[in-house]
Amino acid sequence: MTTRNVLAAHATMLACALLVGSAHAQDSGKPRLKPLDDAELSGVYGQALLDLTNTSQGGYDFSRITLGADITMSSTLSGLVLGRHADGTTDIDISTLRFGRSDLDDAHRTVAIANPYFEWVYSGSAATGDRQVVGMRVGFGGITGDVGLLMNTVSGSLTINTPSGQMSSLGSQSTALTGCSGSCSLALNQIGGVTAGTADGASRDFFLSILKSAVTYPTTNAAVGAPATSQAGFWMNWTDRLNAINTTGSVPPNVPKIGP
Amino acid sequence: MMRGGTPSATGRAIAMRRLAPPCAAATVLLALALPAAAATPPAPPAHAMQALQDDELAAVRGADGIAFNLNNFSLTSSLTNPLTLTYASPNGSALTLSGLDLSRTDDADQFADPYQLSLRSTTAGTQMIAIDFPLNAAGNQRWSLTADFANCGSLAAGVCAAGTNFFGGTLQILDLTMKGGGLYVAPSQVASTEGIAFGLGTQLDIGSLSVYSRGRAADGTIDHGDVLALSGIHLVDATTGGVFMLADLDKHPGLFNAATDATGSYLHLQVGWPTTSDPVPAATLRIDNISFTTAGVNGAAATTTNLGSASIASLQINYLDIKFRTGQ
Repeated sequence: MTTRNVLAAHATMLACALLVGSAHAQDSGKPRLKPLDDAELSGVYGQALLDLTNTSQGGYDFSRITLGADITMSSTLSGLVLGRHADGTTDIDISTLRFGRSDLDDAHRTVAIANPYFEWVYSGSAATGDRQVVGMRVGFGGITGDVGLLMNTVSGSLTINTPSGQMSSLGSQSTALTGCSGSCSLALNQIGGVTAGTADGASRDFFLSILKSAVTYPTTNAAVGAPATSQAGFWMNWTDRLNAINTTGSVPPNVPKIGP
Repeated sequence: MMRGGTPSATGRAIAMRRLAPPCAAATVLLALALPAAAATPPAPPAHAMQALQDDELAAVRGADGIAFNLNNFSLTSSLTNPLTLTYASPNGSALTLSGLDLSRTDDADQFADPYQLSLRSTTAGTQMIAIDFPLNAAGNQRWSLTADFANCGSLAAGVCAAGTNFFGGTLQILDLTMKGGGLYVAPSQVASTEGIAFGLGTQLDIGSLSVYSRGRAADGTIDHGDVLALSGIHLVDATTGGVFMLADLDKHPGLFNAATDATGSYLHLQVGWPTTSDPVPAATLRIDNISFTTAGVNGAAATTTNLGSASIASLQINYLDIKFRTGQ
């Protein structure tokens, strides 16, 4: 059975599911869902659910699987430690990561993510007997919303607009952003979070990778351009359309609301 | 099947139930035929059994669900014509998993710790289908999966065009255990929303998840010459250290349906906002080690790049809504 057929079976199951439950008056403010009729349902079998892209660049083979999905979420992570080494150093150490905030209106409670993807990086070939897996990354085609952050250490490429202007960090195990043409700096843990996306659209270049050696990934959005070269270990790239929520290190709360 | 307190004789043929707490029908029932007794029964202790009236008895379904196990389960692909799953994208590309092998180890007693399928009531009073996973406390029920994977850039008539195939090698998952939890399904309890509500959770441990980039030989032997290995993957509830419930029918329900909005039709998966003030469950995720290892050439030592460990102390999903766009 192919995946397409599996999805067709799912769609059939869902058609049955639509008959389950009772009809109630539509609450205002909620997404209005409606059952699919047979004609509509016959066209739903998961097509374009996955998009597969194979490319070669710089001596590496890349294979990206993009999920055609819109994700909305509110979540809270704490104690995010990626790449903890035997000597006690860490590639990425983020004490608090909150997708969404609860101190403003409902629109700020969640963060929207579009087209998440997963990408392999390989080198060599089976024919020459030197095929190697070099690493992989996960990322988003777009992310919009308020993300609370308390970053201690980040290996990667960051660019954030702050009251002092645009500040950046590029390299392994960084603990600060620099700006003002290099004459001023701001500790990472003074950024209480970022607003991802602007009036022009979503932030388009977030990804997190693990690598055995440095690689320049192909761009996922021509308007953004190629990302900085990712280094070995854990690496985070996020530079597009980010504005600091504050520079006091105060992370907005993210307490869930009660209700369906 | 009796799971209540000690029964006391009442002098007639009786059906008995446990008083408190109220339990699912599958667990509360006990039917006994006892001889007449002249003595006055003592006062019932807490959780003692109590006689059922005929009308109550009529409502009793004397079932305890279905217990089943997967003893000696094994699925092995043919080497020459392997089991293959292919997702064909409308843009002509394709994702393929082939050579699927799946197996499980067992408890010594195959009936000691089965899956259990039953019909129970939710807190809201609706019925749910419950599949309780084995407790698997000793971790004897361990799953293993092996499959080759490839992404084809241009698939036509079932054949991948030359030069467009990305062969990823062999994916192998060893010693995957689920300890407790289960899958619980019911009609949607959200007003104005149709679909399948669900609860889902378990304690998950994986011995290793490895990608062997050079795949398998014709006889099925994995080429270990190059590997990315994630060893010791653990997902548990951050508070209890046990089962983590991603979705809970009573407090934090999931929803699965298909719908149409102004932008088109989509498959919809959601874990809704909590419906009570109880804290949203938090998970702890830990990977003990991540490493790349490549065998040396001409007798040289293997090269290992060790990325160390990774962990998330607390992962709390308050709300998650995924719309899988279908291209309509």
